[in-house]
Amino acid sequence: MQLAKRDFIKLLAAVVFLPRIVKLIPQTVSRVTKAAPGKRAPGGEKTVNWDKIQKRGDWLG
Amino acid sequence: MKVVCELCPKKCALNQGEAGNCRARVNLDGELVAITYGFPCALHVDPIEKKPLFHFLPGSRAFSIATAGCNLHCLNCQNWEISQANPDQVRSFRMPPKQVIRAARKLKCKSIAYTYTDPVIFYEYTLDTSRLAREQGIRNVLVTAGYINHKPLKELCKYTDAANIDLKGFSDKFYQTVCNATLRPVLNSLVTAKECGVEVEVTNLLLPTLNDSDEMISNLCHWVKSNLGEDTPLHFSRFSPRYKMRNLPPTPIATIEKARQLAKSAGLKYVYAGNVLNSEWASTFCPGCDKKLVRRAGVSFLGSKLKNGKCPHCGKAIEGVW
Repeated sequence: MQLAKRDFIKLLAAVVFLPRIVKLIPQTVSRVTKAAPGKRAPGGEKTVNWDKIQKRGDWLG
Repeated sequence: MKVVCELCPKKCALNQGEAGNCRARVNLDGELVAITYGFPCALHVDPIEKKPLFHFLPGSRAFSIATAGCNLHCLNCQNWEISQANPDQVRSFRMPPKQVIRAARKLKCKSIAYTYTDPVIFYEYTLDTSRLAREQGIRNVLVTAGYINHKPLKELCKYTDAANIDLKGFSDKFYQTVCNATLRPVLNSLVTAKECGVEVEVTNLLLPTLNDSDEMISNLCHWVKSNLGEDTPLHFSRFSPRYKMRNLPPTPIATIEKARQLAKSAGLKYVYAGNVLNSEWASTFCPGCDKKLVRRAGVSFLGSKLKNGKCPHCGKAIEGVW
């Protein structure tokens, strides 16, 4: 009974402290400047209205 | 795996699935992904004067693109609907770099402007498009706050012909409280762009009571003169209430006039006013003989008297790409 109690305390200590110890281990960090291109429009796609774009520039003369 | 994005001075450390402060760069399965690459949310043909660039191909069209997100969060942002939105809240066009070039050609644009939000956050898209544009003889223009690290900026400058870089205020406190950024990296970017041979113009938007003191404007002008040269065009822009700064009134015209005077006293040769209906303040005068050389009204180009980039009256060379 005594042994089981000791084991239980050990187990409890492991459950409480192990995650904290693991957190202390430095994480693998990747340092990057350039990012990979995204594959799809994150907010959905809309169609280009060429006439409207042309019109906006028309006032340039 | 954690990813640190080293593109801008914020150096966001991103856990799995997390987006950076700009909202456009995400850690997806340990890989940094530019989620707006090839998906501009804004496409327009603008006069180059709207950027504003007054000493670069005047009267030409710029095919202007932007994607959602921004690494600054200015309380007065004019384009906050797209710059301060999550990319997944904004619908976009599918337009890979090749198509941007095709569109610019089709619409007879001499340049492609990476603008509206900030090209820094869609860096890879800007870089790839700029490379292709350079090959095809189309110029590249950045309209940016210049909040980017030295190395990536240098790489981008290889393909950049002109840039309008905001110098939003000449104090770190102003940058921290209004823009969620810092001053030093912006100053570094201005110098780097100039050193790389980019045609640099500077814009300073004057916000009443926040960055319009004589001392701050004067310091800014002297810094521009000492570090970028007296030929660097400087634009003072008039603020109109927007986004989270609707409590402030528009910049008084008198403040713009005062800023122009301070800039001229500091020795800057080309000083302009934006968002003001005064054609004299938008036109280019010869620093040698004071004759009007390039006529503009607002952002409309009305005509140029320059001959091979020189004043036809006194022969003085005028800084710029004409």
